[in-house]
Amino acid sequence: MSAGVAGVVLTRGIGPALPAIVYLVVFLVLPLGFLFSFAFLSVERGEVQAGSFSFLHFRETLSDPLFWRVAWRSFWVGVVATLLCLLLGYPVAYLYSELRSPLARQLLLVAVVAPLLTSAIVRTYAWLVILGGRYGLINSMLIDLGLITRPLRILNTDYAVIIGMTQVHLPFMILPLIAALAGRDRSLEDASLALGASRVRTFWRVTLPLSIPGIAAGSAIVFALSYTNFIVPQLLGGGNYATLALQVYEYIIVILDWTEGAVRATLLLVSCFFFVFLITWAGNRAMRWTEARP
Amino acid sequence: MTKGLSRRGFTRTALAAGAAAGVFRPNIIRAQDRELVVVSYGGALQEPHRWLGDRMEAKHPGLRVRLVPSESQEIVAQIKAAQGYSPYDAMPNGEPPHLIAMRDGYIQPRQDDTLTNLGSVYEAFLEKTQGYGVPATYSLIGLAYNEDLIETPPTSWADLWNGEYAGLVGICRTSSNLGLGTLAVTAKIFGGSEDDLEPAWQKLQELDPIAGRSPRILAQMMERGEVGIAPVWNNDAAVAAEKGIPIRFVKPDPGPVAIVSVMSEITGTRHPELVHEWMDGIISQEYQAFAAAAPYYFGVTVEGVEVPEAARPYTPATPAEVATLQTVDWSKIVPVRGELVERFDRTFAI
Repeated sequence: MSAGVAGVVLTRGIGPALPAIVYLVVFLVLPLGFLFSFAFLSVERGEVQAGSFSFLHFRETLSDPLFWRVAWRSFWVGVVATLLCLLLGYPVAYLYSELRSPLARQLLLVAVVAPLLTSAIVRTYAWLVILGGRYGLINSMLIDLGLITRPLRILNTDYAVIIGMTQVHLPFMILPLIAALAGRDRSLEDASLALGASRVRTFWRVTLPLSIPGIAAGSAIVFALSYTNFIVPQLLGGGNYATLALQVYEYIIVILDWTEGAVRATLLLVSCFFFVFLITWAGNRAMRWTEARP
Repeated sequence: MTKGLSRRGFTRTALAAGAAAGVFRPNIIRAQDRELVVVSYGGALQEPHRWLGDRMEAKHPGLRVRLVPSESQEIVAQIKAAQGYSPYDAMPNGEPPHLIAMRDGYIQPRQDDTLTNLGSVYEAFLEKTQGYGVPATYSLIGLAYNEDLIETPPTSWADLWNGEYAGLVGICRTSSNLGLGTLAVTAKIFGGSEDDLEPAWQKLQELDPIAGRSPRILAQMMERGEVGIAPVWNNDAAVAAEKGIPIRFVKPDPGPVAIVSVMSEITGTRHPELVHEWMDGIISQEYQAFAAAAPYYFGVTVEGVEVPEAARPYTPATPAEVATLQTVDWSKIVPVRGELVERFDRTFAI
């Protein structure tokens, strides 16, 4: 029996993956397990208090209006960033799928992927330069043109956070859309056009439904990244801005309340899984509807 | 063409990896044997520590003094998570985190007999340490303003509520010493105290301020012209002014708030003797003179060190000015620090 397991591990491809699996278990799964367990325990000065297991911490957090206010903001920012990424990303992916020249396709793909080659922190800092105060690119241009006399307050608002989130996460929407649109069955579109449907109608009734797997995958990724993002609201939101991810940091690092931080981290992760599951489920439902339609 | 990984091959690879780790491990350990890790400030304010570190490295061949720029609150969280195996040897703390570190046992009591320069430290600053660490420097919380945005310079704390500055006022979150100091001084000038911070919350809410997540970020917001006027550290204002940014620092009436920074030995340090030497260096006249000079302008904590002329706009130079410094009873603020951080979000989070 053990020889059989060893054989599977060494010969069926799991063996080479073992270091990565062990690494993930030791440095991700176990720490996450510890973190979540702290949500049910009281931790004083770095030590778990014996006999302190309780669901009370969750009840207190869930009855706190501030938690719901902050959770709503995280959700809202995630939804808006996802919708904007979809609106901006879909035409780019569609353009890619329509290009005939391999060189043009490659250039477009490089343009889409290029931002991923730089750190998200660097890209977010770039927005500080563009949106920032009186000396920022936008405000100094508007002031120089005489359109405004006092700088617009763009940084430290929802607008700045959503602009930053959308730019940072746009490639994660475009890439799954490209995969879905470039691999679609074009004969269905030809059939639609041949049967007299206009190009617009063909797009809405054939192309768009065929790209639903890409939309669902891109939306799930972008929403998860935006909903749990720490860097963008930290840098562009200002000190008045609060999201669940920022609160987790605040409780664990600043207030040193590991229990409260763990409760919020657990709620953030569980709710994120739930929303991603919801997006995936909706995508599957839409696909079933498309396939069942005569 | 492709060949699967054989059991023998897998074993060989694993053994080779293990051997490689075995060969390199002693190097890593050897490097750490001669490394002093000291928490420091970011940017130009780190330079005095670097200066002292270079001197120690020259004195002890093979020693490396590594400075880690970080917020003290993050360091305390890391030390707490390390459960007694701190990756750091020494750290400077403002008074609030110093009291927390003392209470939680993250720093060690001072061993006076290891510090040859202790006799020249001002007694008032030594008292602030409560027997832990040495008073390294002190900094002031005052008002800074951007000359491009503010026409009438402020002269007092109460001027923050001047209608002329509406929409341009910034404050720092209460997660920082700067934010806590601002809250405390606001309470005091509007009839409250460290025990009664309610007047401060009300008055700060009236400001409808733009909040900075940390003192450094607040200073950057002022540099970018997002904030016109704000309570800031004198050192941050000095460094910005040195860069040619139109920022001016004011020591507002009835006086700026002084907060002492205490350099302490972290519990579980691997090099207690070197840490003591580092702490002694911090209270040496040479270090104090270097840290008091442009563009750092850290407050001097030992006797016999002249405050440079250029530091006058940023630090008190005369006994009369020293007498106006506001102090905060941090022992009353520290126990409710977590609540104050939460309260900030409840009051100001958008």
